Amino acid sequence: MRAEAGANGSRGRAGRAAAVLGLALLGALAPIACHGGGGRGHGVVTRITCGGATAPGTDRVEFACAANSVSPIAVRVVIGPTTSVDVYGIKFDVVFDPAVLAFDPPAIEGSFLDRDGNPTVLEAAIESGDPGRLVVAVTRQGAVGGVGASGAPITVVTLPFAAVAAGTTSLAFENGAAVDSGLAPVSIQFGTQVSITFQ
Amino acid sequence: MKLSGVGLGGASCALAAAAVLGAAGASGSAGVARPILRARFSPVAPAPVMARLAPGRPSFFGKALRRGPVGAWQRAGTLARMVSTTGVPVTTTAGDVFLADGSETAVAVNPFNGRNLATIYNQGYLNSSSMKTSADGNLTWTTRVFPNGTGTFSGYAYDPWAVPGDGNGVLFTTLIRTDSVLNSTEARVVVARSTDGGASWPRWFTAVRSGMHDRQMFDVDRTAALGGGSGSVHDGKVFLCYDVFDAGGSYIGSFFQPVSSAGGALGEVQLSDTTQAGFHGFEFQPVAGVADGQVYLMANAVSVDGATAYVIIHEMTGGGSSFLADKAIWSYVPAGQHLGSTTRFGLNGHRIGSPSMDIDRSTGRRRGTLYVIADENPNPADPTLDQGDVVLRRSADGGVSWSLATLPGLAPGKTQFFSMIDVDDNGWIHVAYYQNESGGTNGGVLNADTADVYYTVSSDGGQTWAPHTRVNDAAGALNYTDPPPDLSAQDYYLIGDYQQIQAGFVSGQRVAYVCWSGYDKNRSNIYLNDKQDRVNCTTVTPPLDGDGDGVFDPADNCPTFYNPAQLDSDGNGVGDACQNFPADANVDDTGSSQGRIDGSDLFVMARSFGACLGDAAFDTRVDLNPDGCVDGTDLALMASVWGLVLP
Repeated sequence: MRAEAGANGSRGRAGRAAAVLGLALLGALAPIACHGGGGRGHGVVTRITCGGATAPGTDRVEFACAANSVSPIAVRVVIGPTTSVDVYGIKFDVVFDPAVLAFDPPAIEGSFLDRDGNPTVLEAAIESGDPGRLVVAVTRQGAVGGVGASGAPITVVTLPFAAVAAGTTSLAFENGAAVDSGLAPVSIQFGTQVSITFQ
Repeated sequence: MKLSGVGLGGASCALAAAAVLGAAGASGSAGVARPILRARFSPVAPAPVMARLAPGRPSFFGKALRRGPVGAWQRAGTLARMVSTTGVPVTTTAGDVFLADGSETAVAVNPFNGRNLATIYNQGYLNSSSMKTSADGNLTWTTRVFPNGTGTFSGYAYDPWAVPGDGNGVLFTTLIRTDSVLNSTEARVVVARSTDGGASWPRWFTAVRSGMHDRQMFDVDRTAALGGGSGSVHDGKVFLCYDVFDAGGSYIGSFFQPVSSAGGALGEVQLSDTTQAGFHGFEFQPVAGVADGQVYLMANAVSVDGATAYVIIHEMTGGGSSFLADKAIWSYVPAGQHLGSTTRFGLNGHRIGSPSMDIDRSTGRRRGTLYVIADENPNPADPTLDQGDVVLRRSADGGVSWSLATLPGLAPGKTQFFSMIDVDDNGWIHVAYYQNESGGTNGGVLNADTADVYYTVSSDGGQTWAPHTRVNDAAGALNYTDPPPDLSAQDYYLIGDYQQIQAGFVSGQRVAYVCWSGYDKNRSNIYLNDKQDRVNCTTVTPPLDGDGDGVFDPADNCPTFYNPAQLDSDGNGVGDACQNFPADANVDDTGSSQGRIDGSDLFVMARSFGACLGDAAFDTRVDLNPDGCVDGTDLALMASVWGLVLP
């Protein structure tokens, strides 16, 4: 499994379709064995409401809620137009109440950083010792330049969450940062929290 | 769309980390001595091209031929006793697998199917059954018929050699067949090829040059997929070398005969002649290189008194169109002592084989490295001491400059001889050799009453070696007469003999087939007098080197980390490389990343991803294994501890 993460990360666009298919199959099996998927099979009511999301402005990253859904819910992280055209990597934590919500891997990369076909790497996992903190990073790979965004919001990454128990929790960014191809900070703001309610 | 590396593993995200850390921890608890055999290489001093370099005597001297009353070579059978032509049973034991009575065993392994083997050997007058094939990886063997040469070349055979071809089930073998009409004054190299995994062996090629052919060896130009060079102009060609002597045993010359993939003779090149200016050695071993049509040639020569042996390295390019002679030359003192009053060197009453060469055709960093292994005498002036050590030389610049090291781990005080080498598809070096174990005089260092066969392997280009392991069953030890008779004056001596080792892969597991010549003084003579040799093949499974650092897992202080130096600063048995992980993965320990492995660390790794030592983008901090490159292994290591908050 570990090797596949690296191998996938080094692929270009040509090999991606097959890789995604294979990884998707692996990912479908993952919750059975991992910590994800806590809402399944526990008898909880899984109707989900997500609220409070706002469209990202310039140089801002925001949550984008899916319409009312059932567990698991796909929470997108989107970015608005960027002043910089050299965004190389983005990292952030997503903080939530683990009594209500559980990260349901795998995370799915959006189209922002790999839009030119350059290989990228996505990592997302719960911080050790803190089940309510998801540590996320997505970055381009190799000695290449970064990218920028313009116009409509673009998805950076999609994070599936599953219900654990009925209730409401917020999803909030912490420790958000972006870097350029020289690994210097890029001025990107991480936006407001959203509210997730399971009924 | 891409899925997160950690997420794709689900539970494996934790398990992966546990595996890495667990392995490190487990290794640390051992606390026992881990013997690691390190080789110390030193430069090879080039030898001057001496004016008196000369070929040795032909290999057929004293073997299947002997001089008759008027000095001409005759079939030894006219004087020797043929006792039996009964077929030889094949054993199916898991240890030494007995193939036949015979000697000078060669073996080829189908690179597409490691269970598919072909062996060929000397077997006196049983010309129709001097080879066998196996389809089950040395469990059972089937007798095959080696073909006659063209014309009258259907007489007795000698000098076996075997090489795999480029296709699945393509195997080559060769013997020299004598002229059945002219009473052994002519002999020809005959090459047989099987394209069906060894079921049938039609004649593929017969060399036509007049004379007594001798010590032929050949190799096949590999496709790029099998480690050859890019381009396919020469793919499948056979590069054949052989010596030619006259009927009186005088050297005529050595020749390079390329053969098309269809079996047609291409332009022959004379490599050596009898003049000093034109002599470039004899007994040429061709080794196909890593460029299309490239062949390295290793030749031998001896001083007039036989006390000094020479190795001369040449290169042929363009499939034989260009001969780059004398790229390197060095000398050494051969194992053993003079055999009787002859100029030949040997021990146990037998002359010792010449050096053997192979090349790394892997895709790794040592691709193209040449290796030569030889038996050298550490005590030539004192025959009461160790009379043979196995010495490895290697060249990373196409055979121009060489370094050497005596194989570490050889039993001290004992004589090793008849070493053979094979470099497998991954660049691992497999070595087997005989060792005199005991004897009534000086412990048998020169003439033994028992000997064994040993095996060792290196996964790092000869720097580090696995413990040497006896190959033969205890009951299968070579059993000589003590002291063995000095048969050098009888023109016939076969005690201990050539062997060949070839590695292959069976269901992903690397194995090595050591095909060796046993000897049993207590067995009745089967085919020829003084010939009590028997052909055995033993399958050896080498140890694993999971992290590819050259230190085999049982001795590795970090078996999942590439740490060839095995540094262990605190001496606790756990190597620094894994003891310091995962802390080493916390590359950026500032801000929100302080004490945690997260995106700040990943950015550094991603930026350096794909770079190796010497590249501008290489960042040693994220070379976590550390093998000199930032690659998927490093990313996997970081992923295995993603989100970890360090204590």
